[in-house]
Amino acid sequence: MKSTHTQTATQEKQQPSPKIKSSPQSNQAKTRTLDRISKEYEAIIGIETHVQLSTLSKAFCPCPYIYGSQPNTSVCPICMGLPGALPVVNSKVVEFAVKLGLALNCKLSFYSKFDRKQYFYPDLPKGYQISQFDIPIATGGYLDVDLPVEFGGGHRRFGITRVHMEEDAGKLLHADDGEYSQEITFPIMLHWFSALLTLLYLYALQVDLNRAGVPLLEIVSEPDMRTGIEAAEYAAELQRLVRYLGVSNGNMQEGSLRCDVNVSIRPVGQSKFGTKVEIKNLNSFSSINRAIDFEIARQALLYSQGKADQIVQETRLWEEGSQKTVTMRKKEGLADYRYFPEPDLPEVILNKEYVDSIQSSLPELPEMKRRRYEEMGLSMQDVLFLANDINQLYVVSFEGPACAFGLSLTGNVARFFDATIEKGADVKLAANWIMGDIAAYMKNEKLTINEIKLSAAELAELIASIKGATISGKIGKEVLDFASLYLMLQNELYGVFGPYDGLCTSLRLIIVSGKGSSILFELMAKGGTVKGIIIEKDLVQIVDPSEIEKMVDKVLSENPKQLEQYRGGKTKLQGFFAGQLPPADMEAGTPQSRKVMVIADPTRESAGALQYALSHVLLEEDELVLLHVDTPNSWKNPFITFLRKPSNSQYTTPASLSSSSEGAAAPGGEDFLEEMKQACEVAKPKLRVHVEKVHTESGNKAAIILSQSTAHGVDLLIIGQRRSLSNAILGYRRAGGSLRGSKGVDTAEYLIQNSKCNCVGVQRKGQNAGYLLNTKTYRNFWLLA
Amino acid sequence: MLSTLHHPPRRLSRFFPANNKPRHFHTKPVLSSSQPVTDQSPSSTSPPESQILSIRHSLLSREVTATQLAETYLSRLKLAEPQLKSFIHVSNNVLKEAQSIDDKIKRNENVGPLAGVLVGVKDNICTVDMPSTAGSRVLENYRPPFDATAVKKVKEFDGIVVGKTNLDEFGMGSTTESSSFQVTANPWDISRVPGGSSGGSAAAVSARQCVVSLGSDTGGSVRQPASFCGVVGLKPTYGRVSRYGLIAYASSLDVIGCFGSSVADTGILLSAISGHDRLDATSSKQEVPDFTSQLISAALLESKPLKGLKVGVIRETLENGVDSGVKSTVLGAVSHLEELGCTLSEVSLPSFSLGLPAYYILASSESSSNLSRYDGVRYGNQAAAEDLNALYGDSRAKGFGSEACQNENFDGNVRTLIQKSFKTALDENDILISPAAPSAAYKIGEKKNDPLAMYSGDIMTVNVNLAGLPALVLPCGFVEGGPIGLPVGLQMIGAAFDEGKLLKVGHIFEQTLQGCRFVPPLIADGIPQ
Repeated sequence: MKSTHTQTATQEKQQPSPKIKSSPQSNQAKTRTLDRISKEYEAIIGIETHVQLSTLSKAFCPCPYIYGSQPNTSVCPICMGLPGALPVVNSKVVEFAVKLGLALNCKLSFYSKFDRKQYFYPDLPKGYQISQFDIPIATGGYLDVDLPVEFGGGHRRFGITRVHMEEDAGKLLHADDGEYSQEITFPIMLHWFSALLTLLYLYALQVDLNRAGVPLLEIVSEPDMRTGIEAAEYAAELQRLVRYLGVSNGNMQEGSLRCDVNVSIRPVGQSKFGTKVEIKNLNSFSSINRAIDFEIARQALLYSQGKADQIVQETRLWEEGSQKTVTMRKKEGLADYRYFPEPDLPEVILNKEYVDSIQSSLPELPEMKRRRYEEMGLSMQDVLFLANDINQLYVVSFEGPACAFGLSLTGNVARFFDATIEKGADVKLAANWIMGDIAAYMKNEKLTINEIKLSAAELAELIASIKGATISGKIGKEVLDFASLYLMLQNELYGVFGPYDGLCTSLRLIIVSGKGSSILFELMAKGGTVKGIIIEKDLVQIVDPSEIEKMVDKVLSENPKQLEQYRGGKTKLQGFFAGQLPPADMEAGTPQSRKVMVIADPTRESAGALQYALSHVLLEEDELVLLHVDTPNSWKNPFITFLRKPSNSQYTTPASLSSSSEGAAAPGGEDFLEEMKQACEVAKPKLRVHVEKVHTESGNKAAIILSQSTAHGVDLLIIGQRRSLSNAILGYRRAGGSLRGSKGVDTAEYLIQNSKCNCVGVQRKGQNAGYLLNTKTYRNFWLLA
Repeated sequence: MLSTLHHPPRRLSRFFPANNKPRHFHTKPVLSSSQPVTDQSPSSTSPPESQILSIRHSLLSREVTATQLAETYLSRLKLAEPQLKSFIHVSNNVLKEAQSIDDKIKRNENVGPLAGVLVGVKDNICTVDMPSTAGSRVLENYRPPFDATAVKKVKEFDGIVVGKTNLDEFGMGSTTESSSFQVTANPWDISRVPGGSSGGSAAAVSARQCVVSLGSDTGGSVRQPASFCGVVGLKPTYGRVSRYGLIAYASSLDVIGCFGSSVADTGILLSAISGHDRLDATSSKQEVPDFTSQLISAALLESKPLKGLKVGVIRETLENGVDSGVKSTVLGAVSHLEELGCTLSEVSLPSFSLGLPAYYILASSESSSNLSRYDGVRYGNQAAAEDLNALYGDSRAKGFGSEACQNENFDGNVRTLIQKSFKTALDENDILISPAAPSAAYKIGEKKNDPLAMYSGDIMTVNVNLAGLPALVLPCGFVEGGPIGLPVGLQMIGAAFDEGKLLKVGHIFEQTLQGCRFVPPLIADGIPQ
C-alpha cells in the first residue's frame, strides 16, 4: 500500500523510457546499446522554475487573479500597461520571496531593486517585463532532497543560484484553437476602453491579459542534478516547499509551477561542460524525468556517433504524445534584454526585524520533518510517505487563492501524524494506521485527510485502546497481530461480548484490532469518539492479556516454519495462525451456554457452514438450531406447492405455511436434515440440537430467517455463502440455489448486514483449505482449517 | 537672430562688475515699430496679481459668475487659437462645469480653491473625458479610462479642465514643433516657437487662453517654454507630484509642473496637485506645506525683504554659448536680488557639462522602454503587413515621428556625480540662479534640422532633472526680437522639497520688479481683473 502512495515525482516511473526511434527489430538491441553509451557520459542538469504566487492581488496592481476566469475580466490600466498607469509593489510578493529565500537557505539581499527586461512579444503589454536582474532578492542557497527508496534512495543537496521576483506575461490564444472562440466578448466590461482589446480579437491572434502582472518567483538551480529522477525530485521538493510555506498552490497543470530544464552531457571525466539544451513544456514531474532521460540518450547517441557538433544550443519542446523532444527554436547567442533599473518602483529594502519575523514564522519544512521522523525510528519509506505528503494525489484542483489566507495546502498528512503522536500514540503504529487503512480510505473516497471525520485525537485513542492491553515488546508485531486476530475471532465468531465498563485504560480491556478497523471506518466516515462507538456497538471484551499472550506464544513456537514465512512477507498466514488458536477459553471468557443457529439446506454451502460451526464455534454446552426454510422453486408446479398440507412441526409462525414436505415436491427433504443432525451428534454428543422447518410462499427467505432467529433468541447465526456475489450476478446457478434472496441480493449478505445477532457467512474453500468468513465488520477473512 | 550659441561669447571676468553701477532692467520692452500695443505702455506696468485669487474674490463677491468668466476665456481662446494652435482638444464641458460651480455658489456651498479656474492640461497627462495623445498619431484615438492623479486633484478642487494643450511628441523636444498634429506659435511673436515640450501649456497661459496649466518637465519642458513665453513655470521636486496618469517619457526624470501668469498662481496650483499618491510608488510621503501662506503681499514688504538669503549664481550657465542679451538680463535680475538684500556668490558645478550627455543617454534609453508598448497594434494606426515583424516595424514608423526613434543605451553614474555637486552648492546657498535657456524664443523651423543645437538648448535645465530638484522659472526681462521684444526667464533652483522657498523668493522678486509687464501683444482684449 505504501509504495502506491509515494510522491508524485515517483509516480509514473513505470512509464516507457525514452527510446530513439529505430526499426522495430533492432529496437531492443539499440536500447541496450544506448544504456551502455549513456554510462560513458555524465549529464549536467539545471532547472529554472517559475512559481506563481498565491497573493490576493497581482504583483503591481489590485486586480485579483483567478485561474480559468473569462479572458480579460481581471485587468486594469496597470496590468494592461495603458499609457500613464504606474506599477506599485504588492508587499505580499516581497514577503513571499523572503519566505522562500529563507526556506531555500539563501542569503537575502537587504537592498535589491526591480529592473526592466525588454523584449517584444504581443502578450507583454508594456513591452518590457518587470523583473530583477543584477541584484536578486535571494542568492546562494540549497535544497535537500531524499530520493525515493525504490530508486536507490539517498540524500542529495542541490544548490540554488538565485531567487528573484517578476511579473507574468499574458496568454496568447489562437482563435482557431477552439478553446476560445471569436464569440468571446467581455462579460465584464470594466471600462469602455476594453474596446481597445477587442481590436485584437478581430484577428486570429488573441491576447488574454488576466495573467499579465501575476507575481512569480523565478528559482534558478545550480547545475547539480545528474539524472531525470533527481531533477524530478528537486521539482517535487520545490512544490512541497511552496505549499508548506503557503506561497503558491504549486499546481503544475495550471502553470503555477513551471520548470524549464537545461541539459548537457560530457564524457565521464571531462571537466568542460557540453553544449546545453533547454527543454520546455514539462507539465508533470514524470515528464521532467522522461524528457531528461530522453534528452540524455539523444545527446549521448550523437556523441557516440561522433556527431557532437549536432548538439546545438537551442530550446526544445517535450512532446508528451510521442515521448520525445523536438526543436522549438535555435538560439542566436545571448539575447540582449537591455536591462535597466525600473524607474517607476523604489528599491526593495529589507530590515533585520522584518526578516527575523518572517524567519520565526516559518513552518517546519519537509526536510526538517523528514529528519525528525527519521530520528523517531521510522523507515525511509515511512518518512517519505508522511513528510512528503500525498495530498495532491487526491486534490483534483484548487479553488481560489486559499494560500493567501495563510492556509497551507500541504503537509496535512504530516500534521495529522504529528498530532496523533502528540496525543501519545505509538509512532510506528500511528504511521501504519495512516499509511494503511486511512490512506486506502482516502484514496477510495477521494478525500483529503482534512475531509475525513476522524480526528488525530481519536486515532491516538484507538491505537491506545488496542495497544493498551496487548503485548508490547516480547515477540513484537506478530503477537500483537495474532492476539488481535484471536480476539476478533472470539468476538465475531463466538459472540462473546461483555458490557463496556468505562475502564478503557485498564490492562484487561481489549478492543480487537479487527474491530479497530471497523471503528476506524466508522470514525472516518461519521466521526464521533472511540469510546462512543465502543459503547454503541458493544465492542468491549474483558480478557486477560497474559492468557492470550501465552496462547499466541504457543502457536508461534509450534509453527516455526510458517512464522518464518510470515516474517518473510506472507501476511496471508495470519489466518493460519489465528486458526491454530484454540477456541475461546470459557473460563476466561464467557461460561454461559449460547444458542447458535445454522441455516440448513441440501447444498454444499450449508454443509460447509455446519462443518465450520462444529469445528470452530460450538461447545458442548451450547444449543444448536438447524433451520430450514422451504421456498417455492421456479421450476416447481405452483399447484403442488399450493396443495401442501399444513405443517405439524413444533414451530410455526403466522406468516408461514410450513409443512414437513413429503414426496417429490421436496427431494431428499427430511433426509439431509436428519443427516445433519446425526453429524452433530457424532461430533459433539452433548450438544443439544433442534431441527426447524419453515415454509414460505413469498420467497423472502431472509426475512423468515431473521424473524426465526429473533424468536429463538439466537446468539450467533451461521449461514453458508456462495463463492462471491459476482458469481451470482453472472448467473452461476446450481440446482438447490435456495440461498438467493428475494430481490437478487444474496441472502447471506443480507443477513450479515441486518441480523440483530452476529451473523457469519461461511464459504468452505475445498476440502482442506479452510473457510472464508464474512461478518458485518470483517470481510473475507480466511480461516485455515 | 537672438541665439548666440554660435557667436563668440562676450567675456566677463566676473559677473558682478567692479564699477558697481547698478544694472537696470529693461524697464521698457523694446517695441517693434510695426505693432504698437496700447496695453503694453510702461505706465500700466504693475506687479502681476494672482488670477486665481482675484477670480475667487469676484466669484464669492458675486461680481461675476464662473460661466461669464469661462465664456470670456473661451472666446479669447477661440480668437487666439487659429494663430497660436496651443490646444489639441478643447473640452465641451467647460460651460457646464462652470454652471455647476455657479450653482454651488448660489446655494452658498463651499467651493474649492480652484473654483472657476480654467486649467489647461498638457496632452500627455491622462484625462478621462478627453483624448490624451501625447502629441503622437500612435495615440490619436486613445481615450484613457482614468484621470491622472494631478487632474483628479484639480477637479476635486473645482478647477475646470479647459482642454488638452499641444506638445512635442511624447514630450520629446524643445519647440513643440515635433507634435504630430500642429505647431504651436509663441504669443510674443507668432513666427517663433513657444519652447517645449510643454509649449502649448506655456503659450495658453501666456495668451490668457486659460488661467493656469499643467505641463510636464523631463529635461526642462516646463521651464524653457515658460521662459520663452514669459510666464511662471515651476518644476517641483521629483516625487512631489504624483506621476500617475502622466504618459511616461523618461520615468526617472518626469515630473508634472505648473504654469501661471504669477508666482502665486503657480504656487496655488502646486498646492492643489502635490502630495503622496498610493498609485505612484515614486511619489514622496513628504508633507506638503501651504506654499501660498509664505507669499507676502507687495505692500507689506520691507526695504530688504530677502536679507540674508544666500544666492549662488552658477558660473557655468553664464559662460560660452549663452546669448548676450539673455546674459545681461539675467545679470540684471541678479542685481535686483542683491537690491532685495540677498547675499550673492558665484558657485561652480564641475559636473555641469556632463549633464547634457548623461541626460540624453538616460532619457533615450528610458523612453525607448516606455515607448515600446506603442506597437501600432494595441494603439493607433495599424499598417497592413505580411507578417508580424513587418507589421510592428511599419506601424511604428507610421505612428512615430523622427524624435521617438532614437538610440537605446544607458549609463547612470554621472547622475550621482551631478546630485553630489548640487548638494554641495545648495549646502552653501539657499537657492541657485541661472538662465532658464541660453536664448530667448527662436524662429519656427530654425533648429528643426539641427537637433544638436536644439538639444544644447536644454543645457540650463537638464541637470536639475538629473538631481531631482525643484526649480522655478519666472520672467525677468526682455531681449530684442519679435514685435515688442521677447521675454527672458530666470531659473531659481532650490533644495529638494523646498518649493516653498522658491515661491517666496520668486513672489518677492516678481512683486518688486519694476517696469515689466509680461503680457504678450497677441492679446487683443483686456484681462479680466
